[in-house]
Amino acid sequence: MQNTNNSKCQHIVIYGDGLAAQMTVAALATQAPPQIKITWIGSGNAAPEDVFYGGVTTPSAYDFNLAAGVAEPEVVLESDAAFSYGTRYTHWGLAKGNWIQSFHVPFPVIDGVLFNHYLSQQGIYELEPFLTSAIAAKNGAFAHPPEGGGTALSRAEYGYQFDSATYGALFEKSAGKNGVKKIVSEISRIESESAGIRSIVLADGQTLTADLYIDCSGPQALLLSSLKVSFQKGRRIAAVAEVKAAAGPGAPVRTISGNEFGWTAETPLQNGVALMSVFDPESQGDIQSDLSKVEVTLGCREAAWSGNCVAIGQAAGVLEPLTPAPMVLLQRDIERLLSLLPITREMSVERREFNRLYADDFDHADLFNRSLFEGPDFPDTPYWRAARHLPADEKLTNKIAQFESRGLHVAYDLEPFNQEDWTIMHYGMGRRPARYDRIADQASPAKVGAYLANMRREIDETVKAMPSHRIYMEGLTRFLKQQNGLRP
Amino acid sequence: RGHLIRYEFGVFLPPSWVAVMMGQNLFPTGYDPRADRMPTDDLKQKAETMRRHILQSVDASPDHAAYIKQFGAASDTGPIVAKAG
Repeated sequence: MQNTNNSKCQHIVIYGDGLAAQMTVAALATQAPPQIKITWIGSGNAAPEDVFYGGVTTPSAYDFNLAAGVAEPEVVLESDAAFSYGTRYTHWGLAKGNWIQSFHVPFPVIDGVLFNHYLSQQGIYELEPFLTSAIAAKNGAFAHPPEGGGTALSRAEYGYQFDSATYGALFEKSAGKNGVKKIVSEISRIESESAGIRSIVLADGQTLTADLYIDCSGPQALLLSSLKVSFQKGRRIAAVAEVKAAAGPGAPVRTISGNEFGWTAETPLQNGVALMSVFDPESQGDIQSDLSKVEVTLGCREAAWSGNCVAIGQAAGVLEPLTPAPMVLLQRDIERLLSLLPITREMSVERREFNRLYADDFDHADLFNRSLFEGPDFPDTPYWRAARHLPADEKLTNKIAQFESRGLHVAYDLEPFNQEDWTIMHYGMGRRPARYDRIADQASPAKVGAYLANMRREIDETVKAMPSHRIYMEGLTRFLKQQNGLRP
Repeated sequence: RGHLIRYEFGVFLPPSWVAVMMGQNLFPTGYDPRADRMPTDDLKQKAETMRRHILQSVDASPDHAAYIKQFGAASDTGPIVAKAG
């Protein structure tokens, strides 16, 4: 490597075709300083592993997209994305767990105590009636939360349900507007050494050299693996997926159903429904399908950033799309990279911090997924056995133990899933605290009872008055088209 | 690069860290490259406006001792006696 480590980082090369590449390039094109040249190469092949991103985002997508030059009206008008209150789990485990893992703003605090402790105090078993987003999802209704809090509807946060093709295209378009277009070319060879990548040779013989290489090539991690960064393998899963046309969006919720061999997801889009079945590759014979299968190994690289090459998304690590974890992690990877854009070719400080944060984020996101398998009874087939046969994770054990003991949420540093996510998950999995925060006893039981009953009633009334997801989407689309001067 | 390692439950917030570092003459040699997106003139104007507002607010604030005396709470004044009515 040339001895020019004090020279400025002026050229970034991104390699990849799928969602990770599209989102990374858009974010860089919008937010990186103008003196950095961005080159985007992709093989031009489809990215079938994009199905493992799960097709659902959390509410954080709104801000992420805006910063990457993709505003919500475009998401609605130019992609098949629909609104999402979260994921409904059904037939989960032999006990046939059934709940809606919905997005929710921070829970109300009454007299210094989180409201869910009052549920325990009053012996109220179900949390769901108190979540606007869950009840609305149950009724197939949707409406944007109003600005300013205080109402039941303002507590219903939402994300998006999407198909990678049309959603990813939004980011590619944004990148194009900022002058970055994909160069379609296979990579012929990667010239690498211990310190990093020296150059990339394209199929036509052209050589590319950059100060920073971003690997968005999916699980194969073409660039990062050339630096001999090993992959810490977890279990392997397979999926078959397709999108069926539909007249209009169904419920604003993705439905995941457990079955003997794994699970299936049904994700309503604006004009279709995405269907996916996930199973253990060993169960192939038991799955009746003539759709082509995609397989992936879960797990992460020992380091996401090595030398002058940083992996984003599946190139760094793969999580099962049982929750929005894959998209949360992808967004975080990109934001983390932006906050640690190297200044010079000497990037050890950025690399170390990125890897530290990545390891935490991956682990913490994985905890949330693993929580779905912490239950008494699941089918005894390859998929479930592999998912449950993992060494105990101390952090997860601690979280569950503290919740079951006294409804305490144990939070680790900068976790991607918050207190509300975890509380709803615990309730959905049938976990209840044995005790509640005793400070709750300071409030008068009558006052608390009335407060909770009122909360429930307000939610029921609000949801009854909400339009169906389909009608709302039709109205919104008409409105946005008029705003843009388009014919409705 | 002036990067602050943030911990979610850190006892001290980022501004405290900036102050303690710079107070001990630890100045970053680099900065977040994204800052280059802001035109220097805009930055100078924003910084000058901030500086002016702070100065105006401070100049308009009373002297510390005078402020305390106003409440009758300074040690060289008599004890505070609650008045009925």
